[in-house]
Amino acid sequence: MSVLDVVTQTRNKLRDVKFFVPFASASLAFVVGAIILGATGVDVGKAYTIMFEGAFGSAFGFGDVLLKTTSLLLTGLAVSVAFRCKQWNIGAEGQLYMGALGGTLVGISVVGLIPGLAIFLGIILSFIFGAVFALVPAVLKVKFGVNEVISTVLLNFVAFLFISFLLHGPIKAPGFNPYSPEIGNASQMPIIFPGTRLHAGIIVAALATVGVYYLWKTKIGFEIKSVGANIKAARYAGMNITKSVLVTLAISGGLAGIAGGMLVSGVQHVLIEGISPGYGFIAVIIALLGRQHPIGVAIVAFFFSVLMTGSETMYRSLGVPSAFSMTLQALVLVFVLVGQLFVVWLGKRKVGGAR
Amino acid sequence: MKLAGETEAVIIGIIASGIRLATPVLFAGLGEKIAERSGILNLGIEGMMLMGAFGGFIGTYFTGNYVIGILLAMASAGILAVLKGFLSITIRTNQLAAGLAIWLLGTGLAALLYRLTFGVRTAAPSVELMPKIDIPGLSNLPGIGPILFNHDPLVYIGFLLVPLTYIFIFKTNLGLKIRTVGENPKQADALGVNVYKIRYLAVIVGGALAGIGGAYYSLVQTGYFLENITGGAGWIALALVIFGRWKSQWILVGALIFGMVDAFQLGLQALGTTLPYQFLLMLPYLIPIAVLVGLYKRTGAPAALATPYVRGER
Amino acid sequence: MKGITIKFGDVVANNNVDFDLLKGEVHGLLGENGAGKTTLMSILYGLYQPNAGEIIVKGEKTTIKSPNDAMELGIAMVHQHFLLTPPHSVTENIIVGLKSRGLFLDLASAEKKILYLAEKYGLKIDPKATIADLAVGEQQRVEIIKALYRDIDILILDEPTSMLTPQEEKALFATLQSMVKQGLSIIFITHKLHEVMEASNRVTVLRGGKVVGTVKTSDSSESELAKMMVGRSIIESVEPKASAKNPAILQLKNVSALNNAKVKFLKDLSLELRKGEILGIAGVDGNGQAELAEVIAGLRKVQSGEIIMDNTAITNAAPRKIREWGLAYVPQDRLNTGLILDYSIAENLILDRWYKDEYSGKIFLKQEKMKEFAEKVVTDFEVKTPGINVPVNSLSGGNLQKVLMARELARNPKVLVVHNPTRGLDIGATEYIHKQLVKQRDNGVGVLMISLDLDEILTVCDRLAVIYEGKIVSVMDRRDANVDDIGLMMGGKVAVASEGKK
Repeated sequence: MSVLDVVTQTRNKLRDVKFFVPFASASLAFVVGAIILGATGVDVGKAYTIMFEGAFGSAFGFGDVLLKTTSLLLTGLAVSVAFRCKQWNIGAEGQLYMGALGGTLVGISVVGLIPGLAIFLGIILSFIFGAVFALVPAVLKVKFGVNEVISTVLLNFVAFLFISFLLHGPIKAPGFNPYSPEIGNASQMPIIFPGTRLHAGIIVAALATVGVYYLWKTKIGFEIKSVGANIKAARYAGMNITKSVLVTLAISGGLAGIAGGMLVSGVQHVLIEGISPGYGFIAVIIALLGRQHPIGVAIVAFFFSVLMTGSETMYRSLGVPSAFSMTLQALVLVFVLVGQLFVVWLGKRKVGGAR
Repeated sequence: MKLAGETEAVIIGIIASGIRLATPVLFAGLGEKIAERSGILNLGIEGMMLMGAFGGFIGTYFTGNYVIGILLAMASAGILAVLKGFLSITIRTNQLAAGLAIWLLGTGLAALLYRLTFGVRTAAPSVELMPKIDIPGLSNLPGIGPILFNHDPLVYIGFLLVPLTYIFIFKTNLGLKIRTVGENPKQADALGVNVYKIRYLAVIVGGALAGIGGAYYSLVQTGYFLENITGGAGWIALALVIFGRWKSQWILVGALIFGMVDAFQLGLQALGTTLPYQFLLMLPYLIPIAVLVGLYKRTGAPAALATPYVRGER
Repeated sequence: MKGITIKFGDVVANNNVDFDLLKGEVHGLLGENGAGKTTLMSILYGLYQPNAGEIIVKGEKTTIKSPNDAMELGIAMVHQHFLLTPPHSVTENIIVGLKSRGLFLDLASAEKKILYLAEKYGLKIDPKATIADLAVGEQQRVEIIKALYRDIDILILDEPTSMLTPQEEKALFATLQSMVKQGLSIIFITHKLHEVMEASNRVTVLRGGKVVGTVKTSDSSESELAKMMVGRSIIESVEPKASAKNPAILQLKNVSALNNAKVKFLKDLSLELRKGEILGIAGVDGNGQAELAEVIAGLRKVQSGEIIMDNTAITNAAPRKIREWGLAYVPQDRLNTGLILDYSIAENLILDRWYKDEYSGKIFLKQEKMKEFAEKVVTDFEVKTPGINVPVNSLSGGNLQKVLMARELARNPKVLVVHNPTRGLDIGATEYIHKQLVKQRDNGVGVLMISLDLDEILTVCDRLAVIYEGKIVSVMDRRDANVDDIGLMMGGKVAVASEGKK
């Protein structure tokens, strides 16, 4: 057996452990979650059963799981595209809101259009709105060296307030609530499974996943990921760093924007202030747990939406505060992060032993 | 004449309430400043503040003692700070992710623990609001009195912390260590400073101050604990540190601008005007970005901010 | 220090080294790059643990596990790259980390002590100044005072003059003299001959990790030391070709450029590379080699002067343009600049040509073409790899360099710039790379080989130039090269060298 074989074998073994650890870590998070739940006086077994049933027990519940997956997947992809280029976009939430605005504007103005075209236009405009809003921090970064972590975090709140302003004034529908007018029927995403709230947006999200997977095999994608992998090498090889940063954030913001547009066209049919429960923030965690790989992001997004949907059911039937889902998400993240450390430690020990 | 007097009273009222609105973000901002000076960026302030709001509330609710409430607020947020330290300092995970995890965890845990403590009730439990303390002889001064000397104790402590944190960072041995660790951890390590210990300390102090900021909402402003009672103050605090370029006095200025703007827009909303107050509310977020643009890469940010330190890496 | 041996992997950095320092002397530690000087001193300062040998300080055997231990024993080291905090004041930089009495900083008494030390040793410094505002020489004084403030007996200076102006250098030497007069002992790491002659009492010369000898400076001469430091004759393994009649393919005319610290580092450098020759650039590290390679490749801005490649001005052109006009460049940092370690061989091979029609359609990369190219390279260059799709970080150094060379050579360049092309490679890989370079030369390519390894230059180059402090100080045919003269020139002794020729 050559040295190379030994190395490959050790690697394979390590990979097995690596594969297993995140799941073990996530399970541990559930155990800790159970302890907290138990302490609040809830029957844990019942609670988790209800959670599971809430997500998988009915067509409606599972439809909601996929509905949330749509939003989490798109924002998760948005963040992971940015992170692949080492652009720390924490502004997906704001970009989502701007995209929602773009979708709404199409929805309330092109009422007479044929459905397919109206929906398509809505998606395009929500992409553009999200992308343009993400280009603000991108330009500030390449022109003035403004750190994008800070600018993207802060611009989220600018977006919320801007939407709030519009809903209280310029695009407010008649009536008491700060809502936009309802979008036209032609712009509403069709429900794909009767009896659920699941709309065709899940197809868009799936296409986006495939798109991001293939993005890294395109000309521009190769440039972007090279800049992210090693900026020195990219510059040396003649790649355009400025262009890569701008394109990356535009794609990132655009994907988040589509998520926002479809919250309007698929779920609410009007624009409201709190249209997203923080999908864009949770997306950062999803992107990290999914290792910025579209498949990984899809798995984690699905898992997190099961968590969120299940928690809502728990809230409705047991009165467990909806905050439990946030806690559980945070615990999963913390445990998986610690789990990664464990893998690294394991790897070191193996190498140490081989010497 | 009467009208002039009323206007004056309104203005005084707005300024005084602006100071009260500035106080919680001032606490959190000063705390975050200390953490960032040591090189730790914390996106989880909001979560820490919520834990502080919860800890302060139950401490006061069960003992009737505000001091115990505040101490519990500091401890509750401090525990999250220890976790943040563990993630960012010991196991060196992505600081952004660690911060967001803290935000989620704090938000979730505060609500859950509240529920654990009180169960479901028809009437929400409440505490009496922290009483105001008039500074004798000063609180009756016309204009200035109600603005500056007719507040709850936390306002006074918060303002006192501005010079105190300045002295701590710039005039003490420990402060110098914190600054060096945040700028050049290698140098600090080479001279025998324990980089990890100093960073833990700074994050925990920062967390404890964020905890007080959170408790301000439950103990001074409302008397209740509610989910998301801090309403995004943690993010404002983050912006303040950048606006203030990591200096206490400028964080105070930023906090006051925020407080005044907030008080003014609340006044506007109460009057039922249709003026777009949202643009006023954007200022606390837009000004820091403008400051960063104006500085053009010379931000004064600690050089090692958000960079984990690995000993022996050359 | 007795019998010190330290290994990094298979490389023996110090081999059974004996070194002694007397009280009250300046001891020069002389050697080429990679001779093991800094490693030896890092052991004394507690940064590395030796595999064998012992350290005796003031008559007592000790183990030094960390810089803290070293400081306790009165040993301090001033690194080539300063460890200072730019936004802080001089005083703050000096006193941070000291065991302090009391809560508050006692800046006043610290400043007093700094001024006292400054006075005592002739180190002019303003304790209230901010480090960022200080010149390099002043920052070095801060580093020295930082050491003195901690009551040390032994001070190690690693290449202390590398960034100093001649005036600052003079002032430093005066300071060293006043320090030894007060009873301190100083170890002075350098590769510059005049410095050891000027500043030291004794010199220990290291070569290849071994001690060549320790001599009294007054009993020695620069040429003797140069011989000890370089110590070899020319090994002619490749027959040099006369290239005098070949047309120029790359010209640099009075090129000036800044280094990363924004200091003017290339100073009116002029150089001519001809078709079908290998021109070697010899010199000690940090004399502008990296900057030279980068200005040619368009990766560093040229402040003044002109660069012409095959009758085209390429001064400050975009890197991609310069490459398209016929440059191939193998950077010294093959791991972090030349390649992306997380990428496969196939991906690394198209790093510079991903946009070309050959490898990319309008949208997608042509995976098949990439694969073909990678397989061809693996066969042609005998790259040992588990496959073309595994990340290259699993490859050995020699195989990594083969991948990098293959990519650059596949450009069919007019000019090939290689920087330390064989550093860290085993003999087999080194020979292979050399053969490739000669093959390029024979095909009419102009090859510029920048190398810290003088042996390498003397083995494969047709002509060679010596770079010193950002200038080409001499150009000669390899046949005329005299190793002792080159050693002197690398140490900055141009005049002496040319006199020697007369």
